[in-house]
Amino acid sequence: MKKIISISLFVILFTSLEAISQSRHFNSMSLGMGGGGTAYVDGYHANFVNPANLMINPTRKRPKRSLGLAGGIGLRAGGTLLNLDVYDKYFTKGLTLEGELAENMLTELFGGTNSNLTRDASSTFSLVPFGFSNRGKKSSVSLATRVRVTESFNINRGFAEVGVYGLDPEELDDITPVNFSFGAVAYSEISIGYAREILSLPDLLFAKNVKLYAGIAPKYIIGIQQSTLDFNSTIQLQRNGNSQYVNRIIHDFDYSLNTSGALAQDLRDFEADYDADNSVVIDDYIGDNGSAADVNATGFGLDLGATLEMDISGVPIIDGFFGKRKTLRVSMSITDIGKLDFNKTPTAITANGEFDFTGAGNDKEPGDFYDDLADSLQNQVYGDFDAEDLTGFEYELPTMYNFGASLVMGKLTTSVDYGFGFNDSGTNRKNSVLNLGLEYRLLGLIPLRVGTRVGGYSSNVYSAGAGIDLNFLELSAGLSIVGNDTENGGAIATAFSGLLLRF
Amino acid sequence: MAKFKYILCAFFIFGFFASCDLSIPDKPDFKTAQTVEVPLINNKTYVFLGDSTGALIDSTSEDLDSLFIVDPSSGLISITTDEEFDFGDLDDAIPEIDGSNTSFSSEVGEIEIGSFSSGGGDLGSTNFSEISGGATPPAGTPVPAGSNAAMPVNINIGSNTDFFSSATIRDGALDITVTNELGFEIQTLDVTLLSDGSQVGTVASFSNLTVGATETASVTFTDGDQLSNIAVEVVLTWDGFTYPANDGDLIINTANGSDLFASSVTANLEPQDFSTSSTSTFSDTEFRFTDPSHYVQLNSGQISVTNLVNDMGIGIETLQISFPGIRNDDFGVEDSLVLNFPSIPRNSTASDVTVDLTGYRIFAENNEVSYNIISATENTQTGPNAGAVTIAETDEITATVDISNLGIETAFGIILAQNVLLGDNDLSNDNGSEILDVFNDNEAEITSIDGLDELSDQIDGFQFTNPIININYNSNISIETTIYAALVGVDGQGNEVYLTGKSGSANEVVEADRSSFTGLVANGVQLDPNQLIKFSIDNNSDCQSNTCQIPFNTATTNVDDFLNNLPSDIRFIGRAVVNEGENEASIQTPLEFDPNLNVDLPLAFSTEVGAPASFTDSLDFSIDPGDDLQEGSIFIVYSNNLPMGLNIFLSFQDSLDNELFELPIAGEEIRLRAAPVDDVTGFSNGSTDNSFSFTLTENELTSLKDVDFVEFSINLRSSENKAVKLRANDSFTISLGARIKIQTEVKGK
Repeated sequence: MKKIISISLFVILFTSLEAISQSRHFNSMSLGMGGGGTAYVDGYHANFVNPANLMINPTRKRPKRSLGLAGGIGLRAGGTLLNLDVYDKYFTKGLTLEGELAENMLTELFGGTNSNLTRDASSTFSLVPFGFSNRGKKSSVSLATRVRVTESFNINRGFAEVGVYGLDPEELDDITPVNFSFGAVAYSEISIGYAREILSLPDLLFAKNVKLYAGIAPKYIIGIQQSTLDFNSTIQLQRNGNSQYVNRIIHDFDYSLNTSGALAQDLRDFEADYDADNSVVIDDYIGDNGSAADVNATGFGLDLGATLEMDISGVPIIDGFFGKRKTLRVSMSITDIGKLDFNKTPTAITANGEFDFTGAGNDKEPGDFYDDLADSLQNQVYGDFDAEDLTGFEYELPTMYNFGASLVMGKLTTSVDYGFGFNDSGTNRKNSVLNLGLEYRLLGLIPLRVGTRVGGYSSNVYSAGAGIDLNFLELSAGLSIVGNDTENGGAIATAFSGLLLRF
Repeated sequence: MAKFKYILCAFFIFGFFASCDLSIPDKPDFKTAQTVEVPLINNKTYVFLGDSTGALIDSTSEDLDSLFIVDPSSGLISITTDEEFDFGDLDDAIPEIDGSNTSFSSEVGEIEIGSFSSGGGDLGSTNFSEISGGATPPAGTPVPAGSNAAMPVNINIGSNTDFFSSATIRDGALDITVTNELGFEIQTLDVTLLSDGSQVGTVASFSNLTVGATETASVTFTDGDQLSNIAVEVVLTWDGFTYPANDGDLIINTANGSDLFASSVTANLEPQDFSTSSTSTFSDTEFRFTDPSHYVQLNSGQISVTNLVNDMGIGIETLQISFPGIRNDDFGVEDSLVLNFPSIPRNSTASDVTVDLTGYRIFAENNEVSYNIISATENTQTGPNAGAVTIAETDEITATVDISNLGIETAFGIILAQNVLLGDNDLSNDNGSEILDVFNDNEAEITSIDGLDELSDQIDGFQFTNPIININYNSNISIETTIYAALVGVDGQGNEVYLTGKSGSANEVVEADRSSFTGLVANGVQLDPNQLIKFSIDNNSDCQSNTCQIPFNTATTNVDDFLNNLPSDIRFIGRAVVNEGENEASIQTPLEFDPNLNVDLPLAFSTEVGAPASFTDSLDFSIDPGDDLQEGSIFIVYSNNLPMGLNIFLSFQDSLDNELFELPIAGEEIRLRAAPVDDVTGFSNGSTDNSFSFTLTENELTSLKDVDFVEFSINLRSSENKAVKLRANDSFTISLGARIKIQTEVKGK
């Protein structure tokens, strides 16, 4: 009965969630196979994808232990701003972006003519400096560290209009919103994984040697920095008094910057001194309180998952072509559960004001006016901000639900993954994603991988990877890139296995 | 089979990728075309003069900050500057007076002989027995009247005249005093003075000498009488008498000189006073004392009495030399210089005496100063030096009086005309002759008028209508002084204009003045009268609060041409003719003459037809828009209430000053029209408003990246070229905008 309940729960989870993820941890193998991996990523990487996979041996020949030194490097970027269709159409054919052509480009990029439409882009860099795992018969353990840096950027169409048209009153609206936001977070994780076999059935329906693994990987998280900038403004170009030219430009703005640590303290010091003497320069303060990259937050997180492994050699699927031995694994996991509380000098920097520009006036020589303008803008307009204490601000890890299945048939591995995010942190998105992957181990030592991803934070992505896998040593790389249909944004990612030893 | 699997696998992978609609980005190849339309200058008001934030001419700059003043009532701006003006040293006009070195001698002169004896007893006596040549009669014996004329009695008085040895008499008499104690009355008594046994002088006669009577009679000498070994011979007569019982002698009591002077004498002498006077002369080539009131007061100098020799056989007890024309204190006669010397032993030389004459005045009518020597010999009758001395009337004392190194502090008298060089004579270029070259920097006084240099760099073409140069000075010169000067103004471009007097004016130099200005040259060429100006320093006119003024205005000089050249340097050389009429005058040192050169240029000006004034300046301009600028337009809106129109020219130049292009191009103009002008006051009475724009060509846009600075010049044209006036608040207001199109090409390789 226990076994039935376990399997039933697994099926319920599998069938009830349509989630597809995009912030999922990846290594060179999983990236090459479309970005999945819930049911086949093993070793210490399993800590971050599905800890239950610490128990699996995908090729049946892999040694029990794996050790990675810089054992996994990945970079992924994407978003709706990276619209390769628009890029190809307007930026590769020698066109001059002006007038109607520019208008069409912006409309296609932002999906309409409303200046408030937004597009975004984000990137994540991931590095596993150290990883170790030991696979036992009944249980497995691992230790892995990971550094992640995630940045996101968002602009509205008005921002792009200014960039494309300049300050052209004949192209811009009377009042043009110009907004953008930026966020960056960096943190390190120390993860300890543990998995064990919780169920073993010699026969179940068409399958034999059915085993259910469960794994959990709690992790200690060190927050290095998180900052978010939200800048909102409007630009007015005025030709007052029947002027032949724009004789007044008004930039009405407000922005907020949430940050912490040394950077926050630098800005606070500047703000305090500026109130007493508005001739101080912000550049003289940045770095005064040490590096912005410091321990500014700590927290705990958790990755957990389960994998159902079974031998389906008896099922006649292209039987005999890749070998009779066929192993099916069905997995699910929830990754990156947790949050960080940045509570070291948490500060909200806010400012709002109006830059009313009519040119050099009577109080200065024009030459002096323009010489001083940059400093004036920095110190007295946009740099005239208020610093407000915060109780702290949280960063939610890009929590994902992952479901995957893999079928190993000799040297061939196929996989399918689904996922979705619980939040929009970094490249995480709540919309679902589907990953399909295939690996063929040429001569048993040269893995050739292909895959695709549908959904997520960009349009369809295709990926490939290759390398050499000598069981005791693996060096491989993967690359993914969006397809031509980039209506939902483009993406690109790359990964390298690093130095991965097995023994 | 295995081989087949590999082929199938490869086929599968190839098919997978072939079926993928991969978006492999092409190389970027596009152009952006951004247009930026911005205001650059907004209602910027430029006054003609003002501070650095808004003026055509920054009158607060270091060079110009004191150049301009504003009439508080009318607002009229004037260029006013006061510059120190080292006119040259006029001290050469102070006359020099040289004293003389004169010697004097003072003879002792006729020697007066007084008492012949020291007075200790009678000089001699005789009795009746010696007189009668017989025995003395008994008392009561009648004696008949008689005389001893046949046997005169000699009384040797020489042994008792201890003060006298010998003498050569010049004149005078010897008073002989006798007392009759013979006991009978002497009817007559003749006393004859014998020198070496021979009579000398007249006979001293007595009569009716009663018993006991003492009488005096004189022996009168003639010039040349010699006295030596003196004695007296007495001859007497008597009437009959009874020889008394108390008979006695006829006594020679004394022999004293009465106004008795000798040309030489050997005797014990009373003090002998003697005196003399002499004169010392002064040069009269530069200063003359023609009146007793004329004097020079000295700030240096000395008088020395040297080689004072007592060449006599008798010591000098007192010696005083007085100089009645050399005075100090209140400069009265009683304040004369008197030199008193201590005693000078016989035949000796006294110590030299020198007196500092600083502060003394010398009154030397006819350029002579007299002095008096008064002396007295020592007394040899008494005292430590008592004894006979031999002196002659020609014995003398001698000395030298030297008045030297006279420096004049003040002088009053006739100062002879002086021709003084005004400028340092550079001896190296003309062999020491008195030639001054206005373009020799070592000789000319070069006055830089701060600001005019800067102004002349910026503005050219104005015709100032009422400029004035004033030489303001403080002076203690009360002598008529005429300056013949070359004043040449040189502007920043080296143009020269000489300041000259207009025909018939007091400032005009004429050919007849040539002797006064000969030696004033320009680059070695003698200057002509029409390159020179003349003016006087008389301290009588245009003086207020001890400051006098020499004005050069348009009525008397070409100062308008001179200043319209906007000279940055004014070079000066000159000659001063001092007291040309040689009239009585006073002068004092130091000769103070502290002039300032005051330039007053009211900004009432005009421009000539076809020759507008130009204002130039430059500013750094360094932008690098690359080759991306496609279009550029400049918009100008202005309001002008300057009484002049402004045509603006911009020259865009590279780092080597090569002009890359200029604006406006030929046939176009950037012109701000002049404000209307009040015909009466010359001030603007409104403003002119307008706007215009111009477009930069493609070549001009391309050249912008090489521009390092922009030289801009503004032609200023007074309204209809009439004379107009500028006020401090006259200004023009300008707004400037630009529209540029930047095209940037992005092309992958």
